[in-house]
Amino acid sequence: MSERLLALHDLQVRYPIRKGLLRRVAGAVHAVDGVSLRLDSGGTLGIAGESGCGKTTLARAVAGLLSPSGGRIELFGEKAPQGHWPLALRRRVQMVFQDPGGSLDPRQKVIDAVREPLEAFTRQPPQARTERALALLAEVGITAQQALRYPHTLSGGQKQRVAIARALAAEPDLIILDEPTSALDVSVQAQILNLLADIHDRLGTAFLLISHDLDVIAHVCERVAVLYGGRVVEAGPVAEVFREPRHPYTRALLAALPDPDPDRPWRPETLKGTVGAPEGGVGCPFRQRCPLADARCGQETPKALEIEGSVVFCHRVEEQQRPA
Amino acid sequence: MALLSMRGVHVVVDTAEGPRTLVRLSELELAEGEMLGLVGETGSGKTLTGLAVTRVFPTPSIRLQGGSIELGGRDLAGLGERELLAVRGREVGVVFQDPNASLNPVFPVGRPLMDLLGLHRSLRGQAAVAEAVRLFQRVELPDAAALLSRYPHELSGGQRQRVMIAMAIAAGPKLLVADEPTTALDVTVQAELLRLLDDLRREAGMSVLFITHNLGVVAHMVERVAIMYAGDVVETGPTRAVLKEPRHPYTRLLLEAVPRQGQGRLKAIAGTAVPRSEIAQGCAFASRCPFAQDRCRAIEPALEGPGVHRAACLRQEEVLHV
Ligand SMILES: Nc1ncnc2c1ncn2[C@@H]1O[C@H](COP(=O)(O)OP(=O)(O)OP(=O)(O)O)[C@@H](O)[C@H]1O
Ligand code: SF4
Ligand code: SF4
Ligand SMILES: [Mg+2]
Repeated sequence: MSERLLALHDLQVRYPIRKGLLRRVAGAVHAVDGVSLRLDSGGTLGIAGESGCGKTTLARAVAGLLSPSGGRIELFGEKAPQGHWPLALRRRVQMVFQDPGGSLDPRQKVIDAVREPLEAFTRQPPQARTERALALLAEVGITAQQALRYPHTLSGGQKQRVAIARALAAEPDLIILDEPTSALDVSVQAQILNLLADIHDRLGTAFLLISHDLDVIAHVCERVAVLYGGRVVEAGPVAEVFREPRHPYTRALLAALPDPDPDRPWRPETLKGTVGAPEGGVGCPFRQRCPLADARCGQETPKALEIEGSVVFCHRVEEQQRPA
Repeated sequence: MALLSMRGVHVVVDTAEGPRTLVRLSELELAEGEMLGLVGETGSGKTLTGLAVTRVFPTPSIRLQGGSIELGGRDLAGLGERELLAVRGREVGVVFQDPNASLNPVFPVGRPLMDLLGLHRSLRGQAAVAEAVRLFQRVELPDAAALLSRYPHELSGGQRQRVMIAMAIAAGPKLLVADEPTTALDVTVQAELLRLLDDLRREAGMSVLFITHNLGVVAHMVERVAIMYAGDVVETGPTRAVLKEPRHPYTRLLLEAVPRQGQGRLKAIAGTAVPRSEIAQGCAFASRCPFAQDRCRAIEPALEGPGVHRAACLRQEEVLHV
């Protein structure tokens, strides 16, 4: 039996909207609006969606970097504490960000960036820490010479390798990766994706991978959750969701991706309107842009519907499933 | 007939140690009404190639060192700054990746467009407003008249990019340089914008130099493609031929690096790109190429091939048949 590593129950994160001279709170952006998900130990879950759908907010809430406005986060079977995390928990959950340069201290040599978490989380003597840091860097393809340099002398891909080595130094059970390859070229991205696959195979570390790129998620993850307007609209095994996307938004998202093979048809759908800030409230978050929307979509929030290992939130899909 | 023909274009940056080569383009041609995809990874020189056409470089230390750039039979490389002013915007329009960098946040989005209409087409007052509304409608912006007085932050990223396109086509240019116009946009917004660009091209018979790093977009948007590596074109030809039967190892590896569902380990390209200036002789890709032989480090391959599909590789026949 695989153990429950992460569970989100109706997670909510709201940002206040302030208006006027007195900066009064005039409303709220419901960045994460009632998300329930689970990730078993050693599992890989991808969170897909476009700008503003709440992906990064979700990742930061799980990493304890911001406090939820509602709902619950369970890590390793216990409720995640609000505010500052105890050392043991900080060690078990590590994060890798999109901007590989920004997450490294420019005044700190590469080797020190990896020695730092070793110092914080292990009881190794200094000499052993240095050896371990070099070994970790070697594992991600950074040489001993490069380890003595400063981050700005490295390429984007190399910096991201260092960030990954730094995360691994804590020997975490879960690594949260927020768009880890979005700033990288496709050839460098391939190297990082292979590295992540190796780490998962070898160490069994669980991944929560945030990406706007469905192909990246499909390559790395076993399961995927598609977010729109702060809510999950569809979630399930990657192979199933790709084979038969059921939610109108998942369909539009997959249809919009052009394949480099010119013989594979590309038939992007035209969606109405533009992506706005999630407002929360009753109804389907996708209704303004959905080609299938009807009156019910604005009046009732779609409920979870389970189909073949996937879960879909859409009235129209539900109606189709009902026997006539 | 080629509308644009670039030959031997050499772009350098002046440094304390003397000029350093950034781009050295063997050749690049664009037919009238054609959309050509210029593809490559970061730093391969796509942007500088596009900017070289009208010589608007990001810093004064970057300059055109040599080569010819013929637009409609006239060599732009020989023109002075004043003559180029008449070419920029009027004969050649440009759209960049980041619409935020190009729109001033303190002005309504209609203002720079109307300035352009005054400058290039001597339209002012009501006539300029009417034409601006028409252009906004043409790029499929909703509520065009009202939108003219909106500020950039009130528009979505996709809408701002449409404003940039309206400005780029305002003077009816023969050539549009579109540098990663959809890279900063969401995929569901990208498709719409690409279709718009293609419609505009057909309608006006305009040529488009479409710069991108996205092989998927190229596969479905352009008929002809040029792949860049280390400041030069390494392969060019009809899109289908290049993507289905690549003759250059770099093109081949690039295609294999694209992740897909249900696929095992990706084939990553070893090492990182070497800047043009550090390649003394031979093939620029030799340090990373799985096909490299000794002669590759001695002889610099030229773009060649059996027909319109050409590659700069000494072993292209073997690459094709592996
Ligand atoms: N302002 C600058 N000063 C010095 N070198 C520069 C400058 N801008 C670009 N370069 C160099 O010129 C070469 C080509 O850069 P260019 O921006 O044309 O590449 P690109 O293919 O457009 O890359 P990207 O995909 O990142 O946009 C690179 O080696 C780059 O580092
Ligand atoms: S619930 Fe309605 S608006 Fe939402 S996705 Fe389904 S059909 Fe579209
Ligand atoms: S010329 Fe040689 S090194 Fe260059 S791409 Fe061809 S095989 Fe590789
Ligand atoms: Mg560029």
